[in-house]
Amino acid sequence: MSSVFLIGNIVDSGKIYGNSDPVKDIFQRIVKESSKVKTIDADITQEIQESGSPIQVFKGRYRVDSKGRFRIDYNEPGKQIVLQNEKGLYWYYPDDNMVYQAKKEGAERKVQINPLSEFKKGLEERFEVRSIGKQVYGFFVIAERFVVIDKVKGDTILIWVEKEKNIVLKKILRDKNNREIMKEVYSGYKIINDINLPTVIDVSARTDRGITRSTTYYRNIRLNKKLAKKIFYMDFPSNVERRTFDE
Amino acid sequence: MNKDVIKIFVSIIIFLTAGGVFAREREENRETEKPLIVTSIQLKGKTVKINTQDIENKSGQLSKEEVKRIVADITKRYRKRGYAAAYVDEVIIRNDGILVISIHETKVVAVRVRGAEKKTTINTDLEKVLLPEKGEVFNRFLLEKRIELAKKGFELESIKINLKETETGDMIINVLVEEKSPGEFYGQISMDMSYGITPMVGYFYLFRRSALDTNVLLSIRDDELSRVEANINYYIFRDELPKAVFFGLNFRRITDIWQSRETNYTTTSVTPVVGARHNTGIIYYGLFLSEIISFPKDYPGFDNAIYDTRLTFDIKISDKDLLLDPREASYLRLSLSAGWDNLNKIPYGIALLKAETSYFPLLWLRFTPKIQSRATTSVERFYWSYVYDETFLGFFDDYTASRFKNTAGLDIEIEAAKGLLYIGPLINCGYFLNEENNWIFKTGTGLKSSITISGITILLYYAWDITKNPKEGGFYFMAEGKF
Repeated sequence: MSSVFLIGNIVDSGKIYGNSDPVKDIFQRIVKESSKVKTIDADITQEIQESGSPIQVFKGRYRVDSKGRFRIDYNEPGKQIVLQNEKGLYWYYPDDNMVYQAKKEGAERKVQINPLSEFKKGLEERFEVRSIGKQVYGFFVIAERFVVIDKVKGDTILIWVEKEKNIVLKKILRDKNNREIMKEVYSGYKIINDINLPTVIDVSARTDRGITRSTTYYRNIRLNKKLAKKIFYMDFPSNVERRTFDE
Repeated sequence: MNKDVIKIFVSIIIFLTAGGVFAREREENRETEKPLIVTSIQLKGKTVKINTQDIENKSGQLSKEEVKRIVADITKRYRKRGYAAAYVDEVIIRNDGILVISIHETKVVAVRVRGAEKKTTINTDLEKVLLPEKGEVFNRFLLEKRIELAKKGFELESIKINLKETETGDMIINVLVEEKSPGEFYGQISMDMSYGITPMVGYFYLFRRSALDTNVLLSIRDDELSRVEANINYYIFRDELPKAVFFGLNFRRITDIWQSRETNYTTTSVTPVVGARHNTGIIYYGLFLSEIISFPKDYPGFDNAIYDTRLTFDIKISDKDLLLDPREASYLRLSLSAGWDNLNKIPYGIALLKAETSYFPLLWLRFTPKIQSRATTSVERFYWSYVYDETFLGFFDDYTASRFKNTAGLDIEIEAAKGLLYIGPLINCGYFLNEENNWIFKTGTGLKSSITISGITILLYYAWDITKNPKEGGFYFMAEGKF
């Protein structure tokens, strides 16, 4: 929904986040709720579409922990293993004995289930949070809207939340010219282990290839199960061919 | 693989000379073909990160054939990684049994670009993109990727590569660029409710500080030409691109139906126009003055030339360019015109308001409410607009015109195939003054589908009067794109 020009939006004067502030309380509650997720083990289906290209479908198993390490074992369209740990990001093709590695993941491959992970630390020091009113969202949902200004990077993030359920509905990152750079839509919320979790995450992002859209569907979610540390690391065969993502 | 990349490979001087083996054996072994006693293998000249540990760990008795296979394996590994110009230069067995395989990693020492005439800075900028660091080992994968990025980044039509070997065995990349034509064709074909099947083709050409936009359309209704129109507009940009003054000329020959009088009339008109516009990306506004000189034929009550001087203010607001998904965009347009002509003989006004927005309650479900209103103070049929157009579907073969028309509609769209096919119902209502000056309310409904492939959008509607049988409805279509 285009928020800027929709007739009928009620935009508050912008109450700035401060101590003992209802705005702060709502936001912190949601950050806290999101932080209850420590590990996820789920089956995923990803539909990825780049501008002008047909949709590619990937299926596999996704595991992630609270340290930001993740592993995806894709079985469709072919066997691929994606790992991210503190050493970097690795994309391994066992059938070709080839691994791509990089230090930074691309936005279109981002697979994260905690919508507010970037606000867990340094919320007060780094971000300025304002409430900008309510808006109808979906069917019969009244969403609270916040604008978060990153004082370090200068980015603006718009966030829609359903405060009664402490869940994030949508997040949009805008540049200084108010152009959308990335959009994340969270839907299909289910309660698993008393935690409200989105089972569908739709991400759109501007890349150097145009606009890329990725929709990830999560099924058979096992939450906060103990995951062995070793699954996020892999000793590749000694004769594996190594490439960077540039090649 | 695209044509440019294929051309690159045709041009590449391939250093695959016979597997790149220039083995120099010790005098003692040349004659006898005895196996070599190798204590270890050393790869001299290797700087790139290719895994050759297994090769370097080899030792023992190696026949000439085995050495050749090792050399071929090394070459193959280089090729697979894109180092297409690297080769084994020399193979020597030292007295200590170390087999030294010398690899020549061809380095790129220079990139020379030519061909950019409109934007000459491309020549130097492209050199930096294709060769960020002089002396890097030639890699065709990397070069391909940089070429693709450069084509997109510099908006080039093509980049042709020619590789030249230097005396020292290094490489110079000669690049010939072809800039994109600043012109672009665009077109559409639609089913206009009033005038019939209407193909339109246009051409837009961008000069350094100006632009030319021309288009031609014609309409066929009941196997006859109901409309021919040609437009030419020339824009002169001021300090910044969004600001422009423009001059234009419109030619039109159009046959209109006066439904209540059961008659047709044809108007041939020529309209010079001059104006100014400003576009901030979200808000567009323009002011223009036109002199519409019309020659009506069979217009009841008036058969002289009509001279109409009209001033128009037009403003459009849309956030389409800011959004990741243009389908989420909202749009508002207001156009106000005031004029004087020898048909009305008094000043007249025309106002047009259009607004549309989108709401996604679910990712795959879109609601698009829209409104349109057009009103004129003129009592002359000549200035009225047809009631039933693409904003008010469901009524075919009805050419009622109105002085004051209001329509509102709602499209509901389901994403049947992601990013490709959308279908859903529509409903639209109209409240208008008919030709007998009575207010009439009507509702049409129907089904809509749209498909977008490779930048071309095709819309297909089936709509009918909600008070009648759906079988009495009809189709409306439109296809538009740039090419």
